This record gives sequence, C-alpha cells and structure tokens, in this order.
Amino acid sequence: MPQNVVDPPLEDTKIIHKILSLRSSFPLFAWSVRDLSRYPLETILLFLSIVTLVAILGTALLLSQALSTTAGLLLKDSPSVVVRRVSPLGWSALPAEESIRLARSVPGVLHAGIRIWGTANSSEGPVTVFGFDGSNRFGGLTKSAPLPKRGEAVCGAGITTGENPDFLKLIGHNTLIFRIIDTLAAKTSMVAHDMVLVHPDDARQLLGIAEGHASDLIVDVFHETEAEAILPDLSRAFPWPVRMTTRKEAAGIYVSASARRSGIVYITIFPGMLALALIVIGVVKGQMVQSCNVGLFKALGWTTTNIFQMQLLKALVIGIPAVTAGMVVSYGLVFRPGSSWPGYLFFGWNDNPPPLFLNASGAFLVLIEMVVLIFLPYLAAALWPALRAAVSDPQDFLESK
Amino acid sequence: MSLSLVCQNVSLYRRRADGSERAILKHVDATLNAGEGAMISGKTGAGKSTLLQLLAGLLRPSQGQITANGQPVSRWNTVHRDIWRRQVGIVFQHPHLIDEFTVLENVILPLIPRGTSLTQLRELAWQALDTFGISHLAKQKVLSLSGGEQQRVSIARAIVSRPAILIADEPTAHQDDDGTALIIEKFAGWKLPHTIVIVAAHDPRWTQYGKFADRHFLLENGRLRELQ
Repeated sequence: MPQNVVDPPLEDTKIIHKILSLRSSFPLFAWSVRDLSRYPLETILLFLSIVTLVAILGTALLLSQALSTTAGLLLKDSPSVVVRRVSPLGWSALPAEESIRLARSVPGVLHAGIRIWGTANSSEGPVTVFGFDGSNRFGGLTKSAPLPKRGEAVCGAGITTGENPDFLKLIGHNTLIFRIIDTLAAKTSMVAHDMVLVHPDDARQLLGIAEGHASDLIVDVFHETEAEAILPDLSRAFPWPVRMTTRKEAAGIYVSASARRSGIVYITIFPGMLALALIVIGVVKGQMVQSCNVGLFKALGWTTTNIFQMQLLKALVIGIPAVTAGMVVSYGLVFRPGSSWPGYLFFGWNDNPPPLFLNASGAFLVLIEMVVLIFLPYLAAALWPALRAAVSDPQDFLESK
Repeated sequence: MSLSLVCQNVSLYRRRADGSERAILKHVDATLNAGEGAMISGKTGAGKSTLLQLLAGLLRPSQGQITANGQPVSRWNTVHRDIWRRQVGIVFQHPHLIDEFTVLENVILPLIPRGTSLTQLRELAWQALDTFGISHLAKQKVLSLSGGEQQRVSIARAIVSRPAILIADEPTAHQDDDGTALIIEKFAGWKLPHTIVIVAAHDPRWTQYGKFADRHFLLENGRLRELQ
C-alpha cells in the first residue's frame, strides 16, 4: 500500500545540499575523468564519432552559410537592372551615350551607366576583362582599386600571370600586354576572382568594341520593387531589341544553382550522418550500461543531483572538446587558404580557388545550429537514462545486480 | 538533540507472481537510541535484510513509518531521502563492490560527492582501510580479493564517511575467527554518543563476544521482538 510522501521540515537540508553540490564539483570532475579513463576505447570512439559528425554537418552548414553571405555581398552591389542589346547573332555592343540618354528618359530610373566587359584569354586560361574608369562600378568590390591607365591592369586574386609576374598578356579581338599595378583585395575574390580591370579604351580594343559603345547598360531604381515595374517602359525606350535581367532574377539564378549543388551534398552526407548518429547512440548506451551502478551510488549517499552532475561532467568532458575539434575541422575544410574543393564543388573552379568568407553573425548561426543539432541531442542521450535511474529507488538496481 | 531511530508499526508487502501480496515484515515496532549497538537475528528469509534496507532508506514501508529524531524519513520524497541516506553507512550481505574499481576507489566512492577535498578524501579512505587491516590491498582490483577481503572493503566503505547510523547485514559471514573478532571489536568501538549501530547476523559470536550487542532483537515470521 503506497504511503503519502511528505517533505521534511528541515529547510536547511536544501541549502546544505546546494552548498555541498557546489563544493563537490572538483572531486566529481576528477572522478568523472577517472571514470572515462576506465573505458579508453569507448571514450575515444565516442569522441571521434562526435568530431566526425560535427565536422561533416558543420562543413555543410558553413558552406551553405558562406555561400549565402557571398550571395548577399554579390547582390548588394549588383545593379537593379542590366540591359543588353540582342541581335540575330547573339549579344552586341550598344551605343553608350544614346543608351544612357534613353534609359534616363524612363520614369523611375535613378541612375544609368554603361559597362565595358567581356572575356579574353590569358596564358593560364580565360579571364573577365572589365573597363574601369572609376565612374562605372562593379559593385563596391573595386572601391579600393587604383584607376588603371592605358597599358596597366589590376588583377583579381585568381589571376595567374605565368612566367613574368609583373605583366599579363591577354588575347581577345586583339592581343595586348598589361603591366600589373595592383591586385584586388582577397575578400573580393568570390566576385572578382578572374577579373582584370583595365582602362576602358584598352578593354574596347581587346574585346573588339567600337569607340563610344559598351557591353551593357546598368540601371538603378529607387526601390527594389520598382525594377520589374519599369521593365516594359525600359524595353520600349530602346529602338533595338534588348534583354533585361533584374537583380531578383540574378539572385534566383544564383540561388537555384547553389541550392541544387547544396542539395546533392546534403543527400550525400545524410546516410553518413545517420551512421555516425547510430554510433554515437550506441556508445552512449554503452556508457549508460556502465552507469548501472547508480543504485549502489545512491545507497552510498550520492544524491540524484550528484549523479546527474557526474553524468553531465562526463558528457561535457567528451562533448565540448569533440564539438570544438569538429568545428575547427569544418572551418578548416571550408576556409583554409588554398582549400579548393568548395570552389570546385559549387562553382566548378579547377585551380587557384577563391576563399569563402563568413561574417560573425553567420558563424554564430552555424555554431547555434551545431549545438541544437548535435550537442543538445548528445547531452540528452547521455543524461536521460542516468536521470531516470537517479530518481528511482536504489533497491531496484541493487536487486538487479 | 540525541539521535533516535524509531520503527512505528512498519509492514512491508511484496506482490507475488499470481498478484497476491505476501507480508515480509508485519507491524514492526522498535526504538533505537544513540550510543546503542543493536543486533537483529533470525533465520534465513526472516526479513532481516529487508528491515535493514528500510532503515537505510533504500526501501519504503507499505505501512507505518520510520522516524529519525521525530522526522518521518521513510515518507520523504526521493530527493530528501537521498540526503537521509548520507547519514547512513551500509554494509550489504553481498559486498556490492564495483569490479572495475580498485579497493581504494571503492572505499572513496561515498566521499566523492560530499565536498571533501581530494587530500582529505584519500586520508579518510586510507584510515578506513587501515582500520580493517587491508591498506596493503588498496591498489588491487576487487576481483582479485577473497570473499573475506571483499567484505572488509565493503565495511571500510560503509564507515569511511563517518555515518551517524551504521547498518550491516551479515558483516562477518566470510570471516575467520580473527577477522570476526576484529570486526566485532571495531563495531563495538563505533558505538559513540552520537551513533547507532545495527547489525543483522546469524553468527552467535556477535553475542558471545559480548562487547557489541546492547540490545538483541529476533525476527520471526516478519515480526520483531526484543530478547531480554
């Protein structure tokens, strides 16, 4: 017949209990470490499983986050609308002054400018040549770049020059040799990776664009939502056929390409993660079997709190270094200078890849995701059986021994 | 206030496989006071171990209550009964040592969560081992010990935390004459003005040596009576 449970009138027992709990932390910690060292194989296996799991998942999340950050950077500096002239043969140059004048005549257009750019070949492969005179822009990414004079070039981080590092030979409609006066900052390399900034006249000469003509026209509007609204007017303003791309469309193309590739990565790692999760669960369950002495511990004066503390310490002694190591590995895989596989996987760059970048909030977000996805379930798996055992009567455990 | 431990009409029932209930202990009444050594004897299966486990806070009675200094400790919730068990040192009939641990680690175990410094913790453990002449076994794994040695380790573990109530179930079952004499002498020495020592034993030497048992109880058919 069950009896009513009563609380003791000794309120000070609770306070003493708390004090004891705090004072007992160090011997408990030492005991927890000693306990783990009794089962070195299981401990190491659990540690490695968590490191691998965190590294795999962290790499995927960091890549995704870094790509998102990079996309944001790219789109922030891109024009609202890009207008290109089309002809039966494909793209064709458009008259610069006339195009600007026509675009400005459209209500809602805040700014209109031209760009001169195209592709040429260097000794190491194709590059993007951009006519740069300071008035046009290629995002804020070229903000700190010096203005190249005729015969000079500013190169992106991915440009390699072959034998002579001070000069760059480019072959397009014509062949020109440029003296390299500067290199774009490494942080611009996701966008300006294979870019060469040259004087606009050199760009025209190299790309075969006639004097007074440009590759395309960029248009800015006051608000993002106006871009699509002005497209019909803008189209009608030009006497030749044009193809227009808004920032939103560019973002969609970029995101869908990244998402498709990211999806493949996630599908690939999912079975691996599942297998690793099973290993972690198996090892944690093994540890719980070792902790079947909980009933004896309680009979010897350990409280539920003590047992919980010990299991928590044991879980943290493995978990914190393992998650940290896993994060370091994943950060290294994604952001280590010279790490080529993210660029290859997501952008198809085969050599001299650009480094990926991550802002502080992005890094924090990934850390939180790792804690929620791996660390908390691991802690729960480690603590739940011990807590269940610790709140039970010790006699059941003693009888089962 | 002087320590007292009281059983008030304590009964314990166990459910059989067929669903009926069997009484292990029936209406046990007893009062033990500080400084006393109590011996509980009875045949195998009489319920001695069960009574000790009730007194140690490992079981709850089905009826009645156990009070310590007037507090109904048997009716406290799990968390508070954890604290109550800190006052109790228990020697089980089977040593219940942890095989993976060394002798020293087994003895240290009750001290770990009590806020004792590591140095003090080791000192207390060595003292307890010395008391029962087994300090030379400190570094050995318990599996390599004889039954008698394991039993002494178990006793050392029970006294290491200097409990107010020492409860022992057949603590000399695996001892030779010298070992038995030593343990009875130590238990007698443990009877202090602030402690209660309770031993369940078949062994007549606990009464023959005459130093320990101030009071002698007999448990028969689940009922406890004091022998004069």
